Amino acid sequence: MLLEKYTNDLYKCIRCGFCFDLSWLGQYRMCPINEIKGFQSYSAKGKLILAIALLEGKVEFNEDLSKHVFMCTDCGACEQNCFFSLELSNIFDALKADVVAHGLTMKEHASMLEKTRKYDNIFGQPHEKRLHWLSGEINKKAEAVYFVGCTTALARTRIAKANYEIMKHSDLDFTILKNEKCCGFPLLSIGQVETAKKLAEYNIQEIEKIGAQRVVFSCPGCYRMFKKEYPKLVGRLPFEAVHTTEIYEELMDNEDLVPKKKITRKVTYHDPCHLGRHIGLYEPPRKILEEIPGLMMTEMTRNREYAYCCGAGGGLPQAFPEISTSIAVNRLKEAEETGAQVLASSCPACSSNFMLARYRSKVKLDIRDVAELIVETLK
Amino acid sequence: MRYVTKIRAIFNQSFWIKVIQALSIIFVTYCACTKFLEKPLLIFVIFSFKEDTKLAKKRLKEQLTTIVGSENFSDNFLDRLTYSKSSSFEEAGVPSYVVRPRNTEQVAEILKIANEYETPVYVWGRGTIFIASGVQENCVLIDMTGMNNILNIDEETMSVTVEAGAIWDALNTELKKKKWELSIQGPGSLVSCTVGGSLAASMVPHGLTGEGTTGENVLNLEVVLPSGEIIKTGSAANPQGIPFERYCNGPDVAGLFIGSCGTLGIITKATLKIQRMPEAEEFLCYSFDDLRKAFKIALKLLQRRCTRFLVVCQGDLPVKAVALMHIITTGGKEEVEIKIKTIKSICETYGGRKIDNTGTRNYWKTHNVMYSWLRWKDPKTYYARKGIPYFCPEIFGFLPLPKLVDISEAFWNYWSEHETQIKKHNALVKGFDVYFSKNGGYLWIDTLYSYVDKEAFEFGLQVQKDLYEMLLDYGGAPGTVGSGEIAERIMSRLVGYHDFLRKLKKAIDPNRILNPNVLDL
Repeated sequence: MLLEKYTNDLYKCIRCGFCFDLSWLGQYRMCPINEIKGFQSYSAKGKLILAIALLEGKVEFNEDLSKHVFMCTDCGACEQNCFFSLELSNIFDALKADVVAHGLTMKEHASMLEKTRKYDNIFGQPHEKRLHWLSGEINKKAEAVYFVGCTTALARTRIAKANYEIMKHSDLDFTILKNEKCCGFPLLSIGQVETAKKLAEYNIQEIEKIGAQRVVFSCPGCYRMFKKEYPKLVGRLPFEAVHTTEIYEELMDNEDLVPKKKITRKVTYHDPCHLGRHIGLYEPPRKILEEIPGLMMTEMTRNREYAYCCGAGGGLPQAFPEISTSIAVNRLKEAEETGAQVLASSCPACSSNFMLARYRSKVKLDIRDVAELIVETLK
Repeated sequence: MRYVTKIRAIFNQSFWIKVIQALSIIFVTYCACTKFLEKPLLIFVIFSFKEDTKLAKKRLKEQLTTIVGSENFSDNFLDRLTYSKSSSFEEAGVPSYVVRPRNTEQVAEILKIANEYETPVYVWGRGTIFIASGVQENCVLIDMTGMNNILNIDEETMSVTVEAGAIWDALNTELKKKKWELSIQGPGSLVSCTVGGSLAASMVPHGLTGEGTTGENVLNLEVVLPSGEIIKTGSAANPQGIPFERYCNGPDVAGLFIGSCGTLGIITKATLKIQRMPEAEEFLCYSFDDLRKAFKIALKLLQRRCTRFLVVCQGDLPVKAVALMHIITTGGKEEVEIKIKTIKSICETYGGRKIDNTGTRNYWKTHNVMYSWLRWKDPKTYYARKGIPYFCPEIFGFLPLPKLVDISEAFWNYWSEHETQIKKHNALVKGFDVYFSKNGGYLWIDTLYSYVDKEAFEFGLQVQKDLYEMLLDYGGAPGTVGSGEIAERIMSRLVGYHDFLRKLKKAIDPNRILNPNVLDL
């Protein structure tokens, strides 16, 4: 069992429950799943108890365990506040991989895997559709590659177009891969390590063919995968991985990207978990938004490292769509309480889930990606 | 009385159970009289008993689900299993059902049903206490965390009323938004532990010196008795009254439930004292080479009532000294200035060396009041010790001041006497700290042992037992008793008192359904 590697860490947990709440901010829960489900088995503390029980042979690998293990958005909030600084994300990744190794892949996750194997994306969309939004040149030699990502390319093409437009506007020497495949992150987060590794090897090879020194990501999931997980899977990367918000901040500092048109709206920013807690990137998106003339920034109580998840991670929308949407509704309501008219984010998965949640709730917020707001100021 | 309740319980059960029981009684009576069918009789009795149990379980499950709703009921093994482990190293039983009530009425209904089926009920806050929870198999566990609302912040009575599942730190944060604060900060795990759980366990709070124990800061309680009756204490006992005075309308009934570890009733709401956020706060830290001098100063400071919190630490100190004294004082600007002058004068007269107060300030000011700052260490590095996991069999209790000096010496002698075993097992003293109360001090002895080395673990348990005996020999009084072997040892010393508690338990909870065996009751 991969979990055995973390035996000492598991026994270090004293079940202090610091992984439940953000009590120093008020009456806020930290773990989105626990907030919805209530029982402590659906919390980091509960999952560590189950993991110990597995190691001690008190619990068997079965479907019920699989359900408990995969009811997790991989948001990293528990790890953020762990009293003992335990590597909870790694522990839960190992637990997920062990569950999968015992043939207990959830059927919805099996479908994700099947679709990715067949179409190179978790949505089961034909590969050709990835670039249907694009009319420019692709696969040319360039300094940078814009790695679009499946969600952006297939579900949130407005974000893809906005980023493409900003990069063009700023005269960046960049290109887009003709045969970009899923980065593997959705699969890694559901315990499918081997397939994720194959995708990593493939994507690196494709980028190497271009000879790019930088790879730019608008999707925090892809970004985290390249920056943090690829080195673990396949070793050091032959290029630098950066997020679009880092690039745009840099461009704005150099005055290569200057927002002109006013946006006189109140905006609150949602920190995507994979960009925030998992990478530590909190300020660039905020700096960009503050540069937009007329835009009024307001913060939700749970922001930056304490941001509440949108519910879209860890294969949750596929396996437990109701819970995933409920989490997003919670976050939408929190955003609405700030008095903001716009909920901005820098993650296509977050905005997709928010849109679904908005449809199901009475919240009337405009949901925009930071890139979409920038483009609005350029026109 | 017990038999009357049992008979009543039988007739409250479902129709089919009653039919089976009635048939059994008739058949057994007939067979007994005629010596007819001895073997089939036995089979019939076993069968009817099994059916009886099965039906009762099914019915209990149905009724609990009806009370709390299916989303707040679980008989799923994995859900239940996670309640068998609290912060204590002692493992408890796995409950049969877990329920998450949303209001007092639901708690009351659960207890009524539990009485009907004579099924034990255990109450769960966050399970963050270092003593055994006592949860046994075949019980209903009530997880109170679904009842966490802040009901009323009343500036006119200077009180806040909350549901029992509210988290201390969240409550204090909400109060601070309105420029108020709790008189006490809450216990060690205030970031995650519930108000109800801490009151039931009588946890010792930060701010003990100035504002007293957690219980002292309670104005009124709402409690569900084991029978399912709901009572309000103090001024709130009057249906026309509001919760603002504790010692009225007869005896202090609230006190009965504080520290009872849920054996006498389930606290569902609590009204606590609040105060305006202080105008000024000051922090001082002194080191001492002579422990007796440190305690002498502590006594003088207590007599003058000039500190909000006073802690003396020994073991694993950040500076070369025998003891470290942390002093926190709060109040109006002028008041604090006067207090600081007094404190400095006393400390310096008796040989205290004033040292850096950053740790003291961080301890009080960081959101989670981390003990690590008492040793000038960041929580993230202090608690996450590298390498093997440690376990900490804590020892704690109130002692009068002169005894605190004596037990300090006795402890260090004990530690030296066991040097060979300590070295062998890499045991450590994490802290030997005294949190001063208004009239004495609360001693914490935290020693660490390997959690994965069986011999070291056993040694740790032995040290815990020895030190509890030592504490009790010196007249110590643990704030929290809990359950398990240590609780039995403590209670066995309190003969008359424990007998009284037993009588009380029997009177309030004749079926022994609520937290049975906790406090050895």
